[in-house]
Amino acid sequence: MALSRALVPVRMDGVSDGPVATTFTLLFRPLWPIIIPATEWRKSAAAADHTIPDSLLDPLRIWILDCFPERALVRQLIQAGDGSGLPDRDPLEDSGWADPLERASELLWRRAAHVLSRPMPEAVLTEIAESSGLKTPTIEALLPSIQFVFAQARHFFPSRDEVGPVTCDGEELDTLLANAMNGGMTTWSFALMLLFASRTEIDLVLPAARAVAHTRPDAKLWLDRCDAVLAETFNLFEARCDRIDREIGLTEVTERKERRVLLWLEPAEQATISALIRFANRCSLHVLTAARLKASAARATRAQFMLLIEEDLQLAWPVAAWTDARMVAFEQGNRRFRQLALLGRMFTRFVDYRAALGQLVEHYAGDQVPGLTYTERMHAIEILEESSTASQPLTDYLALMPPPAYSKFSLRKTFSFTDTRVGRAYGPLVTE
Amino acid sequence: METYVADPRNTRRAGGVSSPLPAVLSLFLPTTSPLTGGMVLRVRPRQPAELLVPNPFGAGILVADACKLDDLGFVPTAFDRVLIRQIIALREPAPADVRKSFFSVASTGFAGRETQVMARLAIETTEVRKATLRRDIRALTKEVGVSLEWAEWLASRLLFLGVHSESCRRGDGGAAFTSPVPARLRIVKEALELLPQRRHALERAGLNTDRVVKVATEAFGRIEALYAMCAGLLAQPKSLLRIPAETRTIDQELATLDGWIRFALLLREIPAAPAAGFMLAEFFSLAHVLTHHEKAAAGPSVLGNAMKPSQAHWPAEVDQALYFAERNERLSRTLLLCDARED
Repeated sequence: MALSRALVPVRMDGVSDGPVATTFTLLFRPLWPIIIPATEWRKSAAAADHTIPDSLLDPLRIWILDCFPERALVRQLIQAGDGSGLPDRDPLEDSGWADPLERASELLWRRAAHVLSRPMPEAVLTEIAESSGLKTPTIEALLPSIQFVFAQARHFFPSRDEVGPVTCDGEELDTLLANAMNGGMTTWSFALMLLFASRTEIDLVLPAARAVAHTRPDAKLWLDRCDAVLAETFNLFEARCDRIDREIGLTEVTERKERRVLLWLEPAEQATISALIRFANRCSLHVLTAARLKASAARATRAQFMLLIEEDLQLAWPVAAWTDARMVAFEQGNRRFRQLALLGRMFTRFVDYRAALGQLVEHYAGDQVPGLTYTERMHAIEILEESSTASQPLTDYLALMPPPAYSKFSLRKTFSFTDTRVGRAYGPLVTE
Repeated sequence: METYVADPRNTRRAGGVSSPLPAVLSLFLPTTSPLTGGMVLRVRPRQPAELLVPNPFGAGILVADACKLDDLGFVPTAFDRVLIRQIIALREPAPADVRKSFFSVASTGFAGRETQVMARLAIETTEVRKATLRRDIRALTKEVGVSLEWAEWLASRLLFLGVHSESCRRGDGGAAFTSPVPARLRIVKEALELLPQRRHALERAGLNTDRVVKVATEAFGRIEALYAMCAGLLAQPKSLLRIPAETRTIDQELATLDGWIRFALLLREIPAAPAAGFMLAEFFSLAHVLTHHEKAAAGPSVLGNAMKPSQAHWPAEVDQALYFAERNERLSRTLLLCDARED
């Protein structure tokens, strides 16, 4: 079941093209751990109370985005993609470019929470039931939980590149979990599943969840659910990694105009997997599944990294000087590469990644990308690779700089053309 | 009979005036290297500069040769290497020279495009501000008969502090620096307000912040006093006739001003820090480096024996060098913004 569940979330136009940003993917992609195919959903009664059938998503999207006032804005943001084509900004007033996709996602989630908080008209409910093949009461039962997820999106869906722990107030987390518990078992399951699968602080979230569960008279029920969700998270991630590995195998490397915006496994997700594995090993919980997950994650992350590197080497960068937005997006992309290499190392050895990174460094240090200036190249190299010595361009640059005014050991040699000894060395040339 | 030719230079000091103290200046460098804390360049006349770095291998301060950056326990960024080389090429680097080099290296693009854009703006704005400040200060001091030299001196210090020329034109000392508060003074005041709350956040993680908070509060108080003193000078330009005795201390304060500004900016970063222990260590080492004296052995610093956090407390998923370099670039941008903004 877990395998098929992982198959659903990322919907793509063509399998070989990788994840693409659309309103649908932005809205529902982060929900992947709780979405399952409708056929599975109907068959399994056990899964029914803590998952969403995928046939419900499209009708929901239509209902959420119907008469959406910010539709045009969201479309523009999606087109802006990784931010390399953003318009100029006033650096004094705006502190930085926000990630357009993140901004779009936030708008969409807020809209979804708003729409779903209102009661759904009878006619709409019937229509959704018809197109999704579910019963009306089932949908009515699921809607409050889905609304809860979107309303608390800030906690459940951290930024894609945010690998560090999302430090939040302990009280805030407790309130969130208590609210989820008041929403019933379905909401509780949704909240736990998303928290475990999207944040690196399993050490904080799991004890908090268990503490909240203990406040109930029927604590056992909620604790059991919590344990079941944790066990399932490992399987889910494993299935997802396996599938991503297969999918990347089918992807062809072609010359692209831009770097990829969405990845199969975002840095944040890789960080979560790594944190889960470390947690399992430290606490001797689900050690076997964690080991399986590690092997599977190692394959998937490596395949993705190699594909990204190959694509980057073939990218058609603009020849003229780069705009500010493009340069900033480029630097951000380089940081992502470095981060991906580090995360990949968590699953296998760093050696696998070092060579590929070195290839990239060579590419950007050379003359293949004429749009970059000398210093921009130096900066790119520095971001990509942590080297213990100064890079060659930097050494050359430093050699051209004026020497220190005072130094301990002066190596400067006195040299004079009027010196007789020098004159003797050039003797034959001077005299004749 | 042999003739001894004496050295024509007079080795004795004329008139019995005691020689001025050896001018040791600790210049804070707004670096981007991934190290906890910051770097300080200690300069003396006619001697090679020394680099003070928080010891990456343990407690205390590492005094290194500023020409050799390859074995400091961390990898200095290209930005830092170029910045340091530019500064040590000068015979007598002053705080203003550090800022000038900082602007020029940042505008070359060594710390990324965003910093470059900001640095260009800062250079432009500073030029304009310099001209107006000079003009206004000259007008102000001419009446009371202060020499041109001292007018220049005051103008350059006020420029470094980011004082708006409007404050000089008004000439009302008590109210100076209140309507357009200089950006740096604003940051310091904000930090003083923020300190108890942020301190609480660190202490919840089981850390003791007493000592570093004490040192920082003192330093922030000194900076406020410095601004107050300058406001007083503007109110009564006649006192410029008396000022020369204090020039050295003012320059000392100016040299570490940007360091304390960075300290204040770091306070804002606490909620987003990956590890609280590292954050506190950073406060400790930054404060230590900034308050380090040459005769440190005479009076042990309260910050000297701060413990370095274990590497095990750093979240394994975050690339440490990358995080610090990126964050320091961000802090540099905020620092540049102080000079780039017109207000």
